[in-house]
Amino acid sequence: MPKAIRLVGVLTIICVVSALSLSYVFNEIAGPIIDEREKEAAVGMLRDLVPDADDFEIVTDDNDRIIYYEIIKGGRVAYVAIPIESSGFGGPVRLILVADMDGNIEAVSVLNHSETPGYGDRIETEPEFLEQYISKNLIESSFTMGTDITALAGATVTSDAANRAVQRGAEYFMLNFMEGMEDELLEREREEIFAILNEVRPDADEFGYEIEGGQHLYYTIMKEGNVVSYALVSEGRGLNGPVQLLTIVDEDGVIEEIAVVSIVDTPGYGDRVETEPEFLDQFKGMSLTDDRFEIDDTIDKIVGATITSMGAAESIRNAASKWIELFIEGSAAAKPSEEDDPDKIAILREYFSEEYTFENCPAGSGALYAAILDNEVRTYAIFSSKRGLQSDIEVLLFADLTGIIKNVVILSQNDTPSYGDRILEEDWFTDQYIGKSLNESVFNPGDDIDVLSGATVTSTAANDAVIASADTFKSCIQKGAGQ
Amino acid sequence: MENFLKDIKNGIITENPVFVMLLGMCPALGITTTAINGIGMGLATTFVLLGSNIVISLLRKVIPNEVRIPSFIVIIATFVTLVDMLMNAFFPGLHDALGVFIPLIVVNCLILQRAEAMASKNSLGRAVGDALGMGLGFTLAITSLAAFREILGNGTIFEFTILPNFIPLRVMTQSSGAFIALGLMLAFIKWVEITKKGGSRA
Repeated sequence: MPKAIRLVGVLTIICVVSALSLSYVFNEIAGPIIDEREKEAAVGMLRDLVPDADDFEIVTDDNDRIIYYEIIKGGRVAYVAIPIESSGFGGPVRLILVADMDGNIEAVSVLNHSETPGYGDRIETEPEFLEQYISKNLIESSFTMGTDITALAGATVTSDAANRAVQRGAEYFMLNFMEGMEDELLEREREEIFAILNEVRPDADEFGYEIEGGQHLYYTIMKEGNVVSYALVSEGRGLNGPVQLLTIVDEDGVIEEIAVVSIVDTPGYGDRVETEPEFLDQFKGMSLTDDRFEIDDTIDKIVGATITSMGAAESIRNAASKWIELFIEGSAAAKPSEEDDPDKIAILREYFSEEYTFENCPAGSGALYAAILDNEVRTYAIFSSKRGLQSDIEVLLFADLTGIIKNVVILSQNDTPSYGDRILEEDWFTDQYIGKSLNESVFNPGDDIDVLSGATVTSTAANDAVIASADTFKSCIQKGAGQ
Repeated sequence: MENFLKDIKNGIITENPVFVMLLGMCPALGITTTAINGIGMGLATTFVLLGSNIVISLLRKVIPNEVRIPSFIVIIATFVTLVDMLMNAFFPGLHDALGVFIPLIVVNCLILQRAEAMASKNSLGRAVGDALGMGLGFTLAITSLAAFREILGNGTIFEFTILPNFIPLRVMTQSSGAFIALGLMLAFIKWVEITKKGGSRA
């Protein structure tokens, strides 16, 4: 025993002495110097920008990440310095924006960038460009490239990135340091959209809008007091930044017009989405609810501007899902109701029983059948399908009268060979569902349901179909039982 | 005193950690891109070696045999963390250049090997002599390796240009270059050894 105590004792003492000496050195010698130096590096540049400041405070978020700096003069916060960034030609362009509390810009300076030497890096070597911002006001001034700010010739993308960063900084300033600016910002956004609408729809009498949660949901175009069209703003990812489009549709979701709100992609290439109307005109007449907006045989991309074209298509897809969310989902009448389908009965007969009845269930998205044996309902079968990577994944689910899952069958899929199609081969995936309850179980992929690694999209789609089946079951069978 | 000098010579030449014992290969290959890095890493390692050898030699009769390895590691790790913090405070440029290799001194087997083979069995005087010898031997070895790579890979030494119109062999600045350079230097040392012994053929 004493031997063991000695072993533990010696090791403990060594560890304690080690910890004490380390904490002493860190707290008393090295730590303060390290902190001081890091702060020095950050404020060294601020000191150059605001030479007469008394002190600098770093404001961080909960994760110790720097949000902005307060520059103190005469005992109060005289300026704030906000780090801003936007993507340029070679990577992010990081700037720091210094303004007083009224929003007057004191300085804009480059923190770092990876722009082309001799071109984009002139943002740093030619101070005249950033000096254009000095003494403009973050709230009142506008920062339109070309009219308010002159771009560096030969470094347009970098100039645009810097300007976008300043615009974002202005927005941040208004939301965080000014009170009651939210409405002002919304109004500006609205005016911008109305200006575009005025141009593309000169026939309209009036424009309206709908706001929810501090954001514009959609805009309306009115004629003689009636809403004739809706307009949705949406974004997709372009090469250098977002591709923002305004999609104008009629009441049924058929596209009437698409206008560009903003594109920051390369002039002469990506911006041809805006300058060559043939591209966006292709989408006219397509339906936000029925069509898919992928660059393929039906939609031609702009040669030399593939990524921007794809960004525009993505933007329209986002408009479509927004449209469906706003106007289609929740309104049961618009949902195509499942119908009794002899093909489905034929599939069902392969599994169990001979006799099936179609249960009308307009509240659920799946097709519900009841299997009858000896004049009694024994099992329910639900067909549901969800979009996978390349095709719809159709799932057939059998459950007993209380909603316990008896079997899950993947009926069809066309996803990538040796990835998505493994869902048909690897039985453990569908076996995971057996025994779970449609009423009570949750089906979170990753937590409750393991997905097929390398086939996440396909597995998630199949899982979504099971969830849709559960919804169908819950909304029709359980309600019916309760009545 | 005679022993002390012998220990120092042993570390630098007879049992040079890099060229003879092939210990501490990780930093020797990882950070030897410039001669400055080599000296910085060498001196940091020497400091850790000296500190851990002194403490372990003093505690050699206190530390029970069964827990000696964990004890050595705690002591070595303490000194490495000290070096890491002090270097960050006083030599920030060097600290940034050496990066993760500073905390990795903990797993440099040279240090644990000297603790186990030398400091835990010998008096304070010999442990100090051994630490200085091994530390200087390690510093010299990786600095010469780094200088070799810097000259061939960059045309400079200690950041002074010595080969102005030289087209640098960029591979020397890559990790593969470290293996090539070390191989060449080991071959050279073996060749010197063999010719000194009088044999012209191995």
